[in-house]
Amino acid sequence: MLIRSSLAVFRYEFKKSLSLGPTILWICVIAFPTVLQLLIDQAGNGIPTEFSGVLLVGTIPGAVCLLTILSSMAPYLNAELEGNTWPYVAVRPQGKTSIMLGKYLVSVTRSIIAGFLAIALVFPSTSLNELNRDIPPPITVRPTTDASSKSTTWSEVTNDDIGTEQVMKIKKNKPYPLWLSLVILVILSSFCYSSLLCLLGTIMHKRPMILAIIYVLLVEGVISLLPAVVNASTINFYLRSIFLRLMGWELTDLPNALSFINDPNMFSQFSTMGDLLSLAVLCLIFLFTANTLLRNREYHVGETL
Amino acid sequence: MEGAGMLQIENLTKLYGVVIGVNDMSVELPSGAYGLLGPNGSGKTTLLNIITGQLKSTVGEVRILGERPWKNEAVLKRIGFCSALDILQTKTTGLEWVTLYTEMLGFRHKIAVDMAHKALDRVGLSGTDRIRGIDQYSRGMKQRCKVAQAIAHEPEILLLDEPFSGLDPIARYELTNMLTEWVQEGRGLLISSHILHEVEAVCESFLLMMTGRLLASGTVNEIYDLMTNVPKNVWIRSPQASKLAVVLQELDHVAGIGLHEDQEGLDVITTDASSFYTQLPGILRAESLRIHEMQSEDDSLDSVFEKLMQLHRGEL
Repeated sequence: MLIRSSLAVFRYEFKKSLSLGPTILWICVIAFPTVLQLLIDQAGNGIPTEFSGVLLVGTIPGAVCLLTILSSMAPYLNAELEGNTWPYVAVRPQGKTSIMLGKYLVSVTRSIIAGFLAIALVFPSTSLNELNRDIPPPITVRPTTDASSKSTTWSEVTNDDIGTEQVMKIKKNKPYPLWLSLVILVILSSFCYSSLLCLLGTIMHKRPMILAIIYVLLVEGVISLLPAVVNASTINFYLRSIFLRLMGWELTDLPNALSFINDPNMFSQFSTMGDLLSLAVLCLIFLFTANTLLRNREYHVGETL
Repeated sequence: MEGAGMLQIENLTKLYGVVIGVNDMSVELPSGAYGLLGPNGSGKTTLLNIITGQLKSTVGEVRILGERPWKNEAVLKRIGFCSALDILQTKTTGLEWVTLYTEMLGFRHKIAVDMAHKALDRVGLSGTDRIRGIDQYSRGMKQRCKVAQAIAHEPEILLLDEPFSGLDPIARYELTNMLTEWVQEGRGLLISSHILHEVEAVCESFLLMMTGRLLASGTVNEIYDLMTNVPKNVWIRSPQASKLAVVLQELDHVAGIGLHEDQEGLDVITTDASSFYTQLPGILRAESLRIHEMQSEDDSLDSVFEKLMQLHRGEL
């Protein structure tokens, strides 16, 4: 029943979100990375192309997805309370959870669509296309000799001079192309940031956008960049660690311009699976806390708003 | 429902910080149609919100259909609720809006659409109107939409908060008919209103609330008796006011008389207005007295509430 009810909310809210005003705003947000890249291309020697990868991480999962989520998820409860529809939600069995999950799915879907469209738009229409949709790291990657990054297979090689012998073939893990890394990052950030903003929208339902913007700038923007243990509680910390691994970049390769993040504490020491698990746990904690608050709080519609 | 009764309220108190929403209320209602009457701010909406599980009681207990409503998913499916607040979220059609809330009760989309159509038929929102955006609706049409979402799943009890508000006379008549049919089908109904005549056509019994307290309850006749029997002020203008005052003070039901400075105005407080009005012509004839003007307090519920509150405080 909860699934059916949540899907009903999803269908209703998604359709509602496709009205003219929000769609125009959404398209502007989607076009933003492409416009920025085109301006960089026009500027010529403004920013080295090699840094486009880092820039795209900032503009697509960072700006396109986050702005989409900010507009759809943060005010999810406020919209019900100020629209005077909360009483109808509250008197439905599991209505509070359904409205939260339904709107969460809308936020994730809109964010993923926005991210994918932004990726699809930025590569063909900018100079990034010339790089065959792949971006080298900010400086050349050192040949990796670490055994953990290689997989080994033994095979028989025949040589006329020395006869047949067994040789070890070394297969280096191939980094993902930038577009694919961005696609993965878009999916992850859509799920994670939607759950985070769901919690923030539940905690402070009267001025959700203000709290969400302050929190994102302060915690996800500043605290996540601190080389301290506290950054492990931010989503950004895991996302950038995953991105680094997907792209096959190494910390020691980072140029002086990015030296401020040249610290092992800036990135997760887990494997990619460990990071994914951490993000899943964070997501579940955010959603569970939001749902618990929602079910146990009393909301006085029309009296306090 | 028959065994458990429709509603049991025991020593219910609801506090909003230091403000009292509902004050030590106890009542037990068997299945039937009830009007919850009281002026604005009397605690009707708070009480309905507690009954529908939106708010939690501070002290005391509420049971609807024998179950506590707070965080009780099972009982919510058996009740229908219509809020007094106007719908401000308007980017969808009335049909989609009613369908959503029906689906949220666990019905499949197709079934929910059919149920929404039936409910909208019942409240008289036409086929063309229901596929228009809610932002184009009049207040009465929104009100019909709100009632439709409450009745779509055919609940056992219908709780309506000010359902007649904003309705034109025709819509009011149609809603009254619909609710009368609802009651005749043997379902429970609780309507809040601050106007007695709005709900007296539908409900057989009433609860009177003011400042969070249950002041009185009873049938419509008992309420009218109450309205007649509470002490009432009558203002009389007569050229022989002082002489009239002397005669009137002899009557048992006259609790007080005040003579105006102009010696023509007279304020009479009577505890039995009905007897006063019956006896007054005879007294005037017998004493050869004349009056030019007479005004009594209006018989509205507000004045009854005021008097009941004064009685409650021991001021009368």
